[in-house]
Amino acid sequence: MRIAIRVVFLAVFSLLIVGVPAFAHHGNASYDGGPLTIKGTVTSWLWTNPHTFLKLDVTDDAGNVAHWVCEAPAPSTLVNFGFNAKTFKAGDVVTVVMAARSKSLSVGRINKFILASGYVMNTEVQ
Amino acid sequence: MLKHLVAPTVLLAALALSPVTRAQGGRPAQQGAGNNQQAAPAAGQNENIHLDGWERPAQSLAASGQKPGPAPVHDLSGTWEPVPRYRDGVFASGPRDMPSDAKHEALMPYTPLGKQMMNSHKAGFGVNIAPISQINDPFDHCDPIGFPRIELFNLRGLQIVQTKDEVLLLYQNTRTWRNIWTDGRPLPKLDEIVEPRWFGYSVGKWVDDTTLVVETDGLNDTTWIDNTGRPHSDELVVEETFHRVDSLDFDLTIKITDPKMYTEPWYPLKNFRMGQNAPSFDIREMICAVSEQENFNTLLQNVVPSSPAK
Repeated sequence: MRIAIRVVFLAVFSLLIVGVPAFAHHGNASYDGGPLTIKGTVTSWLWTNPHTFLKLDVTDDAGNVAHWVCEAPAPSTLVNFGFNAKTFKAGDVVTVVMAARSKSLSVGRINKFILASGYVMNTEVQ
Repeated sequence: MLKHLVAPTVLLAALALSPVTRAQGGRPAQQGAGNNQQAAPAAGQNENIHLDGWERPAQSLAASGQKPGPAPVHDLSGTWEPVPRYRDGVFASGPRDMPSDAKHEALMPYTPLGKQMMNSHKAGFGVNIAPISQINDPFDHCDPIGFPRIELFNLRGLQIVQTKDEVLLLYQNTRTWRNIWTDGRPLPKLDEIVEPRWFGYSVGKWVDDTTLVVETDGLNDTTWIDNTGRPHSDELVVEETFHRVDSLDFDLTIKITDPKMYTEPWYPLKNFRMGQNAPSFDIREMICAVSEQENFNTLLQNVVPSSPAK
């Protein structure tokens, strides 16, 4: 039980210190919301500078679809975390963990991708 | 037993903290980590696999076990990256030895005009960090990054080629280059320069067997010195010192002198270490494409915080 509590503490702590990707023209000043995890269907994967984008459609239980724009690090950084221009294709189901997001728009900044297979691709820069 | 406890416990903690567990008025409910069964990470997933431009694993020669030998004479040729980590030269929040935080900003020797110019620059990082919609960074429109910012923001791959008369610096960031003339010509006098340039006019001199000192002037004053908006005028003179430490490394020092903007010289980098890569290392493209940048700006232009960042 003590070990389980320790695991919870570590998980909570790690979520609180979610890293800020720091490698392009702007930081997280424009995001006013905290971490968020969403699961959706890829509509496009933009392998572009200064940042990459994963566009996702997220459907709720009522069938409403939200079109998310998820910002990720530059290709020159992502390539070193196992990503490339063909990592995602339209129709893929992906879960993304965002470090920061907009409260008013479906836009956020990705820290981690979880593929349908369960494979986790982490983009946190240490 | 512990193994079975870890994944559900992490999921529980993530769910407990995630905003998705709270009501989001008028917006579709988001699926939290607790709604999927995929959060258990696999071993090795976060490995940092540094690849070159041909997608081949790449390490500095030192990291691959090669022992340093004596520094070669008058020779900076090779393909270099920051060490010990290839991303150590990103400098998003300002250069390593003068980042734009409260402590270092207090040390910056701004003139009144320099301070005024600095305050007019709305940057993506540093003390003048601004929402995306208010950023006025010229590089956000793919203006040439210019010098010295090419070495003070996203200093990544750098190939150096030497000829009898010049040293060529080929940069990964924006895939641009500089010519350092070592043929004995003098640095142009500021009052005689009729065409300021994005990367200025550079002359270099070997002051000893392993140290090349480069001076640059004639710089276009629309560029920023770094990613946080440090300003410069047309009187900026930059001195770079490339000191070859051994066969595998050189250290880069940069001195900024600009009497219009700064009351005294300052050093954004002091002995910043660059390590040699294998000769086969191919530098990956990192280009500011206008169409991509416009798309970036469009996608994020409406992301505005409810209270502007300080």
